Amino acid sequence: MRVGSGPREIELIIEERCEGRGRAEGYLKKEDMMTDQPKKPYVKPEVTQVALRPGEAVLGGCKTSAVMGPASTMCTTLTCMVISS
Amino acid sequence: MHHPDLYGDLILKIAPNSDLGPTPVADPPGSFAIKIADLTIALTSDDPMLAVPPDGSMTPFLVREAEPDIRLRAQWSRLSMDSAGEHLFESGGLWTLIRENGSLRFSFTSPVLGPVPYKMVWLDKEFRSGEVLIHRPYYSPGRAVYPLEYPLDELLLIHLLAEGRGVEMHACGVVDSNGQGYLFVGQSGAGKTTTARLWQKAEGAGGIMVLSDDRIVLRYQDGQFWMYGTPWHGEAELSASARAPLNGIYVLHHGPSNRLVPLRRSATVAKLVACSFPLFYHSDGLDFTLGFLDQVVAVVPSYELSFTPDERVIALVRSS
Repeated sequence: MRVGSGPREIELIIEERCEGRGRAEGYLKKEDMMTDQPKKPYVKPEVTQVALRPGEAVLGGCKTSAVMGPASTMCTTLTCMVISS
Repeated sequence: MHHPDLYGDLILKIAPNSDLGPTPVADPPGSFAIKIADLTIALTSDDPMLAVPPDGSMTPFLVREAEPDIRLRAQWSRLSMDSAGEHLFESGGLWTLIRENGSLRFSFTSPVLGPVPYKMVWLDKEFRSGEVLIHRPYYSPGRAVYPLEYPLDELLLIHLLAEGRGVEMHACGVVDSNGQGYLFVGQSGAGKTTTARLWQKAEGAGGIMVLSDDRIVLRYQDGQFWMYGTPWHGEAELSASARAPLNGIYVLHHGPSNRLVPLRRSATVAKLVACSFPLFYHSDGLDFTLGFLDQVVAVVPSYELSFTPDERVIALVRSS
């Protein structure tokens, strides 16, 4: 994960590794290695990028659907330039 | 909006926020407290106009709390441009987080109002108490103000959660009549509100509770993962002060048909992080969030859900 100086520079990169193999599972016992089970095909690790929406992730905009109380007009008419969900 | 009282026996299965009374509790004038996901924020002020309890979707979350997690005091002030201190994070929108003299300070500004903040919040480094300063010139005399106004209330909650307590998700949470909790995760436009309305209108929907159609808190308590309702809702304006066990996670997408595909652990964690509210400036909090979501995915079945807006998707989810 790289984090820049502002929300627009956020990029999340997840490296996918072999699934279902915790550290303890990754080492086979000797008797297991003697079985005739076919060897699993090698699966090349993949890099998947997942998009973040910075404005949403950092609460950077107004949430007009949740305005409440006497201050609601503050959010909707005075302070808010960005609407986010 | 749902209220726990409406659910009778069901509430025993899905367990409301503990200590929530049968009706919203009003503190004496000059103070109030809100409790979300079993975390409490209390506010007091010498000026009752700065401590008017919130209404709307926040009302069911009002409590009388002797020992809040954060205790705040609100007062009027004349603020000036906020340039001192170390700027830890700028949201690019409404708020900035600054560290100065061992304290943390949220500064809230708007391009409409100019560089002078309309509100500042000073917090001690333990994040247990603080002061809310409201810029007097921006407000007409006699006007009541809710000092915790969004996004402050939600910022406080995600900071409390990041201290090893849980994670808030951009998600819709639905509880069925059997107390099964389904979490539908997605960014804006993914279908959270649509999903909430589908479940509400479904045939035989009696006993269906929507915890929120936009924000859900996940916590691990008493040996299991729970999803909590929050007052921050989406367009359907559905929220509830209650919690339910988390039984399934569904990453939402609109699609040409209803389709459910199991997700691998790493892929699910990545998608959940993208739909959470991580503290990018807080390494320990970020580390906790990633680890927490990994643990959630390790024990809760996770799927990618493409759906069309019809009720058949409900049966598909229930069969998963």
